[in-house]
Amino acid sequence: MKFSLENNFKKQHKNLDNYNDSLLEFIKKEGLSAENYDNDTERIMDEKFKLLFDKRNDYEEGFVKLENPNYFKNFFKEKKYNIIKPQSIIKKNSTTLFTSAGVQILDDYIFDEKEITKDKMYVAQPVIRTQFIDSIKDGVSTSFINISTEKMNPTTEDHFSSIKDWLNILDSLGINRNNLDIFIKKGEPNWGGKVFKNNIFMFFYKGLEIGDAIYAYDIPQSTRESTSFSDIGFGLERLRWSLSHKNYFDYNEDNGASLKTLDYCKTLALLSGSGVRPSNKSHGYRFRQFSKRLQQEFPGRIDSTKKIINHYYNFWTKWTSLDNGQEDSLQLIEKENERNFNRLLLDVLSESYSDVGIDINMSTVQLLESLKGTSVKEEHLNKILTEIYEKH
Amino acid sequence: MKNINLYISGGGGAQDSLLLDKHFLNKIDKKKGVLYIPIAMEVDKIGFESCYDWIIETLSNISEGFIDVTMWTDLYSKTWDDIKDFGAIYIGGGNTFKLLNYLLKTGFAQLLKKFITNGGVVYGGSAGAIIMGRSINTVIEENDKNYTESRGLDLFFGHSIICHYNNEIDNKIINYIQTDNNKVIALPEKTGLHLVNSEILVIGYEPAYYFNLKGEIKILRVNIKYYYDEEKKEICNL
Repeated sequence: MKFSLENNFKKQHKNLDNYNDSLLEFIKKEGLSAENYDNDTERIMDEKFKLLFDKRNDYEEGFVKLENPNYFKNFFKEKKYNIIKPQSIIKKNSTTLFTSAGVQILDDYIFDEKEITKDKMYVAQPVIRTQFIDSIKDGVSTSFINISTEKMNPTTEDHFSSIKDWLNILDSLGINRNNLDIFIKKGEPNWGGKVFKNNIFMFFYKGLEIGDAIYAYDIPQSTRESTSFSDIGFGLERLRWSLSHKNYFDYNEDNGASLKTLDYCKTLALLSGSGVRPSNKSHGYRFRQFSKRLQQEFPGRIDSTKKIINHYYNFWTKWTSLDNGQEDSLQLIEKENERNFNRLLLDVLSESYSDVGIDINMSTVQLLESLKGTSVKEEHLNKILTEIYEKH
Repeated sequence: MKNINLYISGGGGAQDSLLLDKHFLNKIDKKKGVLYIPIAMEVDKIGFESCYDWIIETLSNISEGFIDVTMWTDLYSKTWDDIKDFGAIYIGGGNTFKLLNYLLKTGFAQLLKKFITNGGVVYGGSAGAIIMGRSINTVIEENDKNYTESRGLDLFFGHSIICHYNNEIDNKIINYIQTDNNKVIALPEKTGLHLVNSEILVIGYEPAYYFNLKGEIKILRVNIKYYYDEEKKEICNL
């Protein structure tokens, strides 16, 4: 066993003594090996990813299992987890504007100090992580399904028992525990002003981080003793990608759409389907931001983006119920996309023409018609449109 | 110093920095967007989402039009081409030592200085403000992980900066001056400074304060312009 324990750390908390003892026992019993996470870990895993990930075997059976939301649900139901319906991605009065992790089903317990349930829970939670909007690549997206198990005030045995459940289901998918690199680290997160501590198991498969298991404790409460939770979560799309050479974004039509385009469409489908309306502020800001980024990346391609958005809307409805119907969601996105394409076009035109202060809140067809009443020459306009399309 | 266009705030909440923030937004080309660096914060992925939501709320609440905000939490491998087209860079608060040492380690500190000296608008809040001074030892208590670097970007004529100022920390500042031999600009939470080349404008609800090497305190009043006198080596009224 390669990791070490800090002696003074061990003295601090009795439950932490239990955690550390349980950790030793668990790792030994399950035949795992684990290392301390340090400054070199990311670099080493990055190198492993470059070396091994492309050589991964296709495990079609596992891939097919992951396509079925009931696979995970049935497995964890059998293990006596309460199956929790995914929350809306829209959060109100919370630490984040959108649901960004499965663990946020525990918000009522952590922040509102709701009476703590003894149940262990399973949720397949659609999440949005806007912080990755500029880092899109295979394996990194702004929206995905965070499949997770949660429990408030777990014993350490509860926590490791859940990790064991996860190891078993990963085995069944074709991700054998012997092929996992496990790293252990500690953290001190700050959620909405609540600073607490956590012990983290990070799971890497062929260099790709696929999930983590967090035992969090000393979470301050005002009406009761500090609380703790077990949060174990994996990204569905990363698991699926690990099992097959199919692309991470799971869209196979060749229409010139980049990974960013696919990601923005996927997240827009989730935003619009969840009832978000575009605006310059609050939740609607993200809708507008993603649409603007989409127009910078894949400007004006209404038919192509419609197909992509429909594809992802269908994906999301496999895993959660959306408040806004498919047709309405799509229309809202199209309208916003046209508005932002109009903005893009007028910004370019305004460099050469002073009379193009036209309202962008109309269809592009109407805008082009309106431009006929300005000093913009048709030939120049066509040249600019061609340049916009060809640049992307 | 030519081409400098730098805002620093005393580290208060959105209402405290409202005047400074509005001034900042009026000065930038919003079409180019704002780059936000939150890495002074000790947060996890959920925490960074919260940071991103915060900056967007702060700026969009006082911006008439849409303002695109990009957030970076990984500054390794960033180049001049990556940052040169932003309308402004906003550096958020948190642990000043963590921030400075990360900026230096990743090479981003050099890019930031280049951005500033090329006329790029930069806003530093709290820790983001303190790193603009000569030394960050004004908040030496934040060095909780034996960070080795304490020399800041030194953009305020050899002065160090301290934020969240109130007169209860006067002795702390004077001790710092005696130890480090640097003058100090102290910003309460409800104020900030706009530095344009060698001119300083105080913008906010309270004055800023200037501590010279003798520990004497000068008040820098709101809406008054000051400048740095190279001969006298001190901040003077315009």
